[in-house]
Amino acid sequence: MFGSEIDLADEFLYRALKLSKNLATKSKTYFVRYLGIFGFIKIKNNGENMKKVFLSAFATAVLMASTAPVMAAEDGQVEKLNPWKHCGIGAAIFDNNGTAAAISNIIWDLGTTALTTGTASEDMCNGERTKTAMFINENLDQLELELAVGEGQALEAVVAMTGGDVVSMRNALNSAVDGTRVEKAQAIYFSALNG
Amino acid sequence: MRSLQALLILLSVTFYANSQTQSDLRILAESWEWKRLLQYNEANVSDIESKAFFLSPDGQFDPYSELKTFIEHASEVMACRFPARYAFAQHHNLVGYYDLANCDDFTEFMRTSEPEGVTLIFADGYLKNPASFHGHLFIRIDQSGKGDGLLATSLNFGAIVPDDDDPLTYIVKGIFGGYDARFSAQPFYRHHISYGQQELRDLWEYKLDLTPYKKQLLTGLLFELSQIKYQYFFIDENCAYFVARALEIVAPEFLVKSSDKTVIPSEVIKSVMSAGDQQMVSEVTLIKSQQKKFQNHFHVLTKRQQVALADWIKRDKGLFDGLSKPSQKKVLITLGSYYAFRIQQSPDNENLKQARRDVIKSLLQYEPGNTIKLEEEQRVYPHEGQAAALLRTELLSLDGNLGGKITMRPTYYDRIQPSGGRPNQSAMAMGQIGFYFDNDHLELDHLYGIHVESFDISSTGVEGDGGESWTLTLGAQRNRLRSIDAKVAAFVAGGYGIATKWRGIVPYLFGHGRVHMKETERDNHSLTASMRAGLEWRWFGEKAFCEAEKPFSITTSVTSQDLIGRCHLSLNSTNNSDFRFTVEAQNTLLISLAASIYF
Repeated sequence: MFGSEIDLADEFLYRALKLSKNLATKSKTYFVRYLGIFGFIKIKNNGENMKKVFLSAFATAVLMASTAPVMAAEDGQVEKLNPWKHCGIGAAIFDNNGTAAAISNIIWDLGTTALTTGTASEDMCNGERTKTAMFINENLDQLELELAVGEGQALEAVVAMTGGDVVSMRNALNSAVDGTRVEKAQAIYFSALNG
Repeated sequence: MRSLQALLILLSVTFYANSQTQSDLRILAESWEWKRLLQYNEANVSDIESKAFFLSPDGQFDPYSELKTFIEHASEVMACRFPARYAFAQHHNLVGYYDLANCDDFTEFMRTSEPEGVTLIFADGYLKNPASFHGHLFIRIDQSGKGDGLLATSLNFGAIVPDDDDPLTYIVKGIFGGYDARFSAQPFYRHHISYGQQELRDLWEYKLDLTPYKKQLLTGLLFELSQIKYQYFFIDENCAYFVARALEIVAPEFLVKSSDKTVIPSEVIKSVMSAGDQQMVSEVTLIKSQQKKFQNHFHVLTKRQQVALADWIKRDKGLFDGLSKPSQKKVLITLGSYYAFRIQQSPDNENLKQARRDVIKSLLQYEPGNTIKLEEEQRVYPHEGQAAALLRTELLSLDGNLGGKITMRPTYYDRIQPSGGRPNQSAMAMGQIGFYFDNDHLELDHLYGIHVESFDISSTGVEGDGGESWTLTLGAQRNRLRSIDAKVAAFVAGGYGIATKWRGIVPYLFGHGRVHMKETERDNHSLTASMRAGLEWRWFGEKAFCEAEKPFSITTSVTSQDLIGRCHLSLNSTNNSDFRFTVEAQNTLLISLAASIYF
């Protein structure tokens, strides 16, 4: 069910961002190692000036390669992160059973950590965005009704978490209203984030 | 010589200052706050047995030793581990300043570095689960301006029960301390869903009136307590007991005692409301159950709108289409709350889901905004309900013979008591025992292990809104209505019926079955079936019911018994007493006047 909801481009981009984050954490090691190897070859063949030029260029390139995607990851990964797909929210129980979803969902917050899909790191799934997705997921029934009415406690909570726009979320729900629970929850989630 | 004098003076001053400091420290260690931080009970011993809770090996028995050790080891790490102890020590200038905002675990636990307040929450009793008969108590740490409480952290004390424990094991281990327990932190919305939407229980919010320092102490203590395991006892050392113990840090007196035989959530609420001269609570609010929300919406509709709603549910939209747009919207909002409540009860019902989807789609076509304004209703708050334990004396006439009856019950309530914190039109008694006496006799009248009556009232008449009601009783009694010489007969009885509400009156109809020992010498049956119909109402602020029951003795044949008539009227009730009048008749006539004390 989930495979059809995440297209391949999204999946590829997501994995690239994840990889870039891993690179970032190890960037210091990689930077020194790569600089040493390639710098030595160039030094031998092209002399001192070339060495400086190359080192500068390569250092810049490596830094860009390792840090630029990380910056993008900080901003972009959360937008591309789909907690339903990548963090396993409601994966086991999310058919159409709101009751089960509410009482037996996976909990990242408050000290209890669990991962089911293995596609995302704990850090990625431990952020506010995932908590927002979980809130939408578990309060979907109430949230749908409150969006339809235009006000309510759960809706206020989503706005407080995301700064989302109620009209946009209503429109998103309107488009997905005949869809599955996952589709409706995701429509509200992404609309709220883009709000 | 002068140098020697100066040295002696310096030593004296240092010794005096040191002894003075020690003396001050001992006074602080004996203070109410420090001892409550360490969860000392009225016997001057901490309830917490876990060594991890104390820094000093003697911390469980010696508050001075714990305070001294804490000060000696003061550091940011210690402040983060024991934020309440740190707050106390810092308040009294015993340690340096550490910024608790740097404590990741603590701020993650609270979901905020500066809590707006702390709220004590009481969930009404839930009669479908014996563990929830008496309601539940938990704590919420409120955040400012974030989602009106749904996102706040709530601290729930509960037993850690393995999934595969069967109900019998659950009961036995629950009563006799077979489970570990702990405070677990969850976002409040999970409780809102499970209690308010799935179990249809009202949640009462008691917002505590706390100074910033007391808020710091309480939230810090809750964090410290959440790190340890307890032993769980369902009857006394339960959620209500340990929540009360935690709250004592901001209370002027003890809220429970370790010698209490039972600790009941509503009793703790009463203690909180009556503790000291100054109110601990600044505000009490109600979060209505999903069913009550629908019923409230329904009752503000006009008659025409109500009929249109009922028709809509039956898929007849003729009347709905003829309504004005604003009226249609009100009907749709009410339908939305109706299906929200129905689907929680029948999550697999595809028809309900489709109908709900239609309502959502229709509502999305209107301008946003809730046009239904609910009216304030009269409420009986949980702290206004009567206490759980009962002692009742009755003067009664049994077929003209004067006698008396004494009834005792450790817990909980019957149908004509005020409902504060208990479901309306219901009853729940555990361990109730009654003795009859007259000039010649003193004998057991009845003993109920458990007696439950639960009326799920439909106040709207709309399909699926309540109506299904049930009763269960396990015990022994003399059925004096059948015979003045009735024997004590053990029995198990159950009933299933419907109940509704019409202009404040609750009509009901039940079918009952009772398996029992011989009730009279002449009996040759052990199974009695009956039909029972009655009315429950309020008069002069009190509750009353009258009912008729037609029993049948069942063996290989069915034998009709005489009709039973009963009327129970509360004449006057206060927080801790009532007077009531009862008339019951079948083969005998029983008239009684009773005075009850609740404590």
